[in-house]
Amino acid sequence: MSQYVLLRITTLDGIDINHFDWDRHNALYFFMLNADEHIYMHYGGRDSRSAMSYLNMESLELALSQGLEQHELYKAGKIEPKLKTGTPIYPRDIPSLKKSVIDKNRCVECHLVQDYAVTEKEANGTLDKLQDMYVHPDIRDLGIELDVPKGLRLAETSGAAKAAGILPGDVITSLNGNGTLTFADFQNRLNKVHRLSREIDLTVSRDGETHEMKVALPDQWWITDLSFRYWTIDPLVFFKAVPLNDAEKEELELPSEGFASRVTEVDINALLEDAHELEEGDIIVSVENVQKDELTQDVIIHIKLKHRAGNSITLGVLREGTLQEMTLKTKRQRFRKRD
Amino acid sequence: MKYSIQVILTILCMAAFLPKLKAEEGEKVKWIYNYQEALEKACQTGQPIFLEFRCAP
Repeated sequence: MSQYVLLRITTLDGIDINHFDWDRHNALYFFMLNADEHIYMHYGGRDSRSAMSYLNMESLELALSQGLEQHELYKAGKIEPKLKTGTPIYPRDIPSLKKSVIDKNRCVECHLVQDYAVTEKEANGTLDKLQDMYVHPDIRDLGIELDVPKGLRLAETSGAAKAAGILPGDVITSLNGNGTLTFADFQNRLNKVHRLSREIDLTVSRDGETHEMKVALPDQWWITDLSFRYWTIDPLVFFKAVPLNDAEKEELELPSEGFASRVTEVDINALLEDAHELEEGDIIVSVENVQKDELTQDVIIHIKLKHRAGNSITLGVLREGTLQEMTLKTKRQRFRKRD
Repeated sequence: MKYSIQVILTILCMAAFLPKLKAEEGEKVKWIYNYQEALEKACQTGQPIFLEFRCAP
């Protein structure tokens, strides 16, 4: 570390958040860059298991070493400078954050920037829930299990990664043509992949050779456990439901591609909020007369993607073999209530 | 509140993480807390910057 200038930032109010782009629901996050503000790499990141899933002394030492190598290559003109482009964006440029946090002299914590940015987008109608809320998909859903101390070296592969021919011991070096040195680089690049994409290009290094791989993205690869973010994607629906499998649908003579989610749990708040009259075992087969969604067969995810909090929605519900209509009054998550 | 507790726990975990590097080098780690000042120092010394975003001071 003595070979670096050490910079610690504890509040984001003077930081160009357009240039420094990362998963802000991390208590700690690192960048390596130079005096020209060329970013060599990200370091940090986490998943739903733990804040420490990808933080490790050995991988940090590896990243520090790689950062120095990148710096030498940059000075030798062997890396094309990626300098700041576009207009800088500061936290004060997010009106609700400025009003609720900066103007009250509260600390501009990283997660507040992300939370208020989403709230702002929702208010002005530009929120894309797929990209803005189902953030930082879990790389394990692609079948990628890293040997964490070794950076982007794979410990195991399964699912989509294995089907693409990626092997344990391979080292991921780029995603869709963008170089990756650390887990955080990879996570950051994966987050930029459009959620409707069906495939990504991965480059791996294997025994000193470079291999280009195409990884087919599984259905709903972007669905992520958001619980550690204390983020719930609006609207709240006050029940849990699980999509039926093909055999169950066939038995009920329901179309295989349509909605059919069985209610497995009713939240007590459904009663308190007078939100709905669903019961465990009910099967939801339509939402506002829509019977299928090419993105998802999960009724709850469909509602979260296509409906705004506060709306009343008509559900088509099978109860004991009889189809009936029921009203669902949706609600907003408390923390996202506007001041 | 839950988020704050989580942040504190993470910081405590990391507290056992970064100082180890310091001990191994046997040098005092001196952090700069101003972005522009760090850029200027990097320019003067030719060193890269290790930037830590930390949720709590």
